[in-house]
Amino acid sequence: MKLYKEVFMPRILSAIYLLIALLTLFALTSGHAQASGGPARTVTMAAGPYIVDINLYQDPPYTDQPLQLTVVPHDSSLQLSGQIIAQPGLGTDAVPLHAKLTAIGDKTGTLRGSVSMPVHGAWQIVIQLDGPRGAGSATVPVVVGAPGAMPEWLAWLIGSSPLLFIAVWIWQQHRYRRALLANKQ
Amino acid sequence: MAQSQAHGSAALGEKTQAWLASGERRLRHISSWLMLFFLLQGELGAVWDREWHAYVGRDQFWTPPHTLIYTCVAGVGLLALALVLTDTIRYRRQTAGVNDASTISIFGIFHAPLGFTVTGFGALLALVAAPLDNYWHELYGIDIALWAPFHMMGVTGGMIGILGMVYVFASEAAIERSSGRPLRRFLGLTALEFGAVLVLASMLDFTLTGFLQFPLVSVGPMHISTYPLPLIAGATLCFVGGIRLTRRPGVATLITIFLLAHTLIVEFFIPWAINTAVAQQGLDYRIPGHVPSFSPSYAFLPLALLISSLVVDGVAYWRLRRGGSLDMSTWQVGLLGLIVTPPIFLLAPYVLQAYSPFAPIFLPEPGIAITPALSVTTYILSVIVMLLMGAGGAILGAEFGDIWRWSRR
Repeated sequence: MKLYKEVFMPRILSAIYLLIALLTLFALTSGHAQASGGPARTVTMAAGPYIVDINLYQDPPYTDQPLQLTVVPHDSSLQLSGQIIAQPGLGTDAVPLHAKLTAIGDKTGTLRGSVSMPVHGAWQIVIQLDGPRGAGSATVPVVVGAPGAMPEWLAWLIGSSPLLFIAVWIWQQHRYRRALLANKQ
Repeated sequence: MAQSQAHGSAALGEKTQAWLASGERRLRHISSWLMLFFLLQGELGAVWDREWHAYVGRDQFWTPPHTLIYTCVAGVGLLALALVLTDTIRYRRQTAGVNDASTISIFGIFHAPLGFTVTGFGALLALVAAPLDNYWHELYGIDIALWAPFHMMGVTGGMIGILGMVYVFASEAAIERSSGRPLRRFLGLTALEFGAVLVLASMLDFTLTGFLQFPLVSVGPMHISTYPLPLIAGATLCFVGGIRLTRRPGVATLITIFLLAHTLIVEFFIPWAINTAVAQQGLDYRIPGHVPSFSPSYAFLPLALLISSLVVDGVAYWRLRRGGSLDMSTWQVGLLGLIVTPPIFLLAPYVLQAYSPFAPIFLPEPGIAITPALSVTTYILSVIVMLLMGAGGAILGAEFGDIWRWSRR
């Protein structure tokens, strides 16, 4: 019993901790890989009379790298046209940028475009649309990162690593409580 | 004569032992109250920082609120470090009052009370997060809010530190109770128990500081505010934990009253502090004319927790009146958590409606019709998640509360 407690138990616990760490790493990295395939972020918005899904293919976007996006109208029969305006947010020293949205020519009526933001910080991506029901616009806030930035998954992995400690500690406290209550009785 | 001398030296030894033990108590008590002072200061700094971001912007690292926060972190961290080192030396010298019953072993090298160890770890974590958070701000700009990796790391450090401080006060209160000497009480609580209750109220206050910046979860065009989750879990943990720690009905309501005092003081202080600092440093407001002022919604937000705290106290009182014990089973505690959760998530959005556009829990995308099936599904799932958070917080509160009650380490 003593051998089990002193030798095997710490090893088993170490193996469990390592497994949890690896699983966390796998979950975070696989999430990142998926994001690089399909849209990284999709928002459903009303641009005036048009309800659209706005797909951002990079989240967060980085400076001087084109942010690809598509605009998919819920009503695919609409023939929409429009443009993207990237407006610098509060505290971002830059000028508004304009880019065209072009129809990709499929049955869904999807529009595609890209915009490169030169300064990191807060930006507003304004989607302006024109169509049979008139004009409308929708705004998506984004935060643009600097080049060479630590990948977000790595930052979250480092930032949330104390949570693993907390989980283990709470489990130990649970056992400590049982021992305390047993001694009390 | 020899016998008398031996008896005299034994009496002297006992006196010395008692004095040394009381010296250890004094050392820990003074450290505890100093830590509480730093905690209150740091919390003021945290709310001030949040408002500074909103009204002025993050112009540099050493803003006045950051100075307040990091003085708190450094003060608490150094105090914890000093106590860990002092108690390690005292343990090795076998000083009275510093033994295996009142300390834990850290890596087999250091010996110190659990609370000071945990608090020190929390402060260290917050300190490590600070340069990383600054780096993140440099990369992504000034408007990165709470939900950023190193902000969360700092907040986690703060939470661990505060939890550690409850241990600090609670273990000393347990040692005091076990000494058998008569204790002075006010409202049924000793000074150290009051300290622990104040720290619990501070923990809830710390939750309120950032809870509105918890992210929105989007299910298609329906956005769901997640701020009730930390609010509910924090409230049930503190209320049940406070009752289990002190074994006094009324403590949950006392925590709410202390929390109300916190938010009132903060709401009176922060607008004045920002206006004064902006004038003195010749700064501009981010949005001209958008000047901070007293917000009754935030100041009276703790009232959203009042019904729940009264229910927790009522159940405790009822059990004691029936001659029962406060030691409820896990499922009973979980049930209590479930019962006290609805008043929080129903009242909080109502109290906050003038304070934040994100106050409603359910925020449909404007201009888009939400299908009834989506509405019903999101409502039901959200309520289930909130109830589970309430039950989980209460169970965790009972677990911690028992440790705080009985642990002398």
